[in-house]
Amino acid sequence: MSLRALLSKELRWSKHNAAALLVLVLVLPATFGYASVAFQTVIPQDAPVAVVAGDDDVDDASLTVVETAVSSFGEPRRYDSETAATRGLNREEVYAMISVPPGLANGSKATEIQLFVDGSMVLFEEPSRAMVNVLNYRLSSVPIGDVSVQHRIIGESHTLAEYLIPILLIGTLMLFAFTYVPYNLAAESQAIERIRTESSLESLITAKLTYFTALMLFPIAVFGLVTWALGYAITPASVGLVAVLLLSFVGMAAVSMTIMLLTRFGTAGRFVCVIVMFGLLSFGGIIYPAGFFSPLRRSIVRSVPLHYTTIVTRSEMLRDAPLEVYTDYFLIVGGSALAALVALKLGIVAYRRGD
Amino acid sequence: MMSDLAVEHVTKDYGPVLALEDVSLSIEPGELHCLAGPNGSGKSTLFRIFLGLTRPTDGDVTRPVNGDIGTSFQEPAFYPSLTVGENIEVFRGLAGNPDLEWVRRVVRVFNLPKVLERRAGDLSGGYSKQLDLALGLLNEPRYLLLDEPLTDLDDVTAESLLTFLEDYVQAGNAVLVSSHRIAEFAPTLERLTVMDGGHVVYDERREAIDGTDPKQIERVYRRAIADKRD
Repeated sequence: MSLRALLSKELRWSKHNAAALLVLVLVLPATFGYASVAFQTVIPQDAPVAVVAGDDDVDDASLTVVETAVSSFGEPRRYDSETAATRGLNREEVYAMISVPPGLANGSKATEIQLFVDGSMVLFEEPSRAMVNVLNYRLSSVPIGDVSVQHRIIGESHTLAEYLIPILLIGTLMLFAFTYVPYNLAAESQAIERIRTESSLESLITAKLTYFTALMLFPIAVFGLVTWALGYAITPASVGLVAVLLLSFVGMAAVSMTIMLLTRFGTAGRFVCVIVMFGLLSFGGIIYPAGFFSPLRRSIVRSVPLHYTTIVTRSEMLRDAPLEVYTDYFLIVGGSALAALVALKLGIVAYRRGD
Repeated sequence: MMSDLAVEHVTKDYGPVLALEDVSLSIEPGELHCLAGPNGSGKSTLFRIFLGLTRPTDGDVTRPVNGDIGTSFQEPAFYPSLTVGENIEVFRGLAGNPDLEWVRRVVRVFNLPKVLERRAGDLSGGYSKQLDLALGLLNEPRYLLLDEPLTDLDDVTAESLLTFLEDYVQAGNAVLVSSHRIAEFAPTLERLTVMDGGHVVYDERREAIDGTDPKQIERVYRRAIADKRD
């Protein structure tokens, strides 16, 4: 009989914690289920590929021949110059660049096409070698003479370990923003009413956000030290790197704080934060570059600000591209952080109205 | 001295639940004002409105512009992960770093010196209340609002608090106490307000209550509630 009474108590407990349970047993499994979509396609099938004329003598017919060949494994995008195409590579708008030499279409002589990939895009290196083979095969079946495709790497060729460093660094910041920040707010909610009488919620939130953001300099520094100690070919710190990571952290922490305010620091809020974190991991293009996914998934990834944080972080650590290349990415990250702060202010207002 | 802590014709509803209806009350300097009433009578809502934590649905609230209000909550409000000493330092800073001598006095009154190094979250119910009371007094507020200040306090500490409040009121400050143990405030009580069902059902000064006898105060309270319900 005691078992029956205790089971009945668990049912009653569930009734009183319905929101948290709903998140845990319904929303979370559904999210995880849908998150599996993120890993459906890990071999790029229609990654954007830049097609660019090697010099001014290249005719349109030659470019079209290559574009046709590329379209069997990628999405060709024509660029005006190699400089513009390289910029596209750095910004991860395209994942390979094919430079077309003159005289390809008229088959007058043996020609060599070069397929360039970025050395930091480690996951793309093997697929890009497969692309070279496919391209060689496709072009050999076209009556254009003797054509060969060469694989080239722009910049330093990095290892998978080095590729993972920016991802792990962003992951650390995400983990802090979506688990520790909500935990901290919930743990200190006992003092909230006194803080509100002595100061204000705005001051409290500002202090926490400022402190936690400054605290994030430590993981950034630690990652820098570890990569230096391991002898990785990585730029451990730069103004651009610190700026983009801190801006992103402000945005993420503001989102988790807003969730906690809206749920009045309840357990459900902490679970929602975890779900948001998994959502960002799955749909933010943090692990796999956007080019690995279908056009639909790619457009979703490109609507998530963290995608741009990942590109800038990867670039600052692994590439030798000037920061100006990413001005608009910075604006997206900064703008989203600002929007998150506005949402946070509205969350504070909503919290007060709930009294 | 004019009161700058008052509510006029205040109504507060939480959806279909009417917590306060057309309540007017001012807290006068130099008075210990007892707010009594059964559970759910609206005392805590009125407290929160005075503190600026809850906005009334209707009516006007006057509060001191410099936020010169201190409070002790029914549920102690402090940082449980910090020590008692750290809590005092944090809230002293928020109170604009008041005179250290005053802070030391408050700490002594509430018997806190021997638990200064202890984690606040590990304190007993009595010490938690004492810390909460001390935090409410750190800025030496002109208006002190205490919600059930005697809860969990032992007799000696309760006596010490009552003596302290007597001195505090005599210094020209106002103290509003919400309590189920109103009789214990009899010697210092200057005004008694009784609430029931979100209304003020009794509001008189010491003279009208007829004496400072604790039993008489209890009688007045019970009669006020009974008259309202009849």
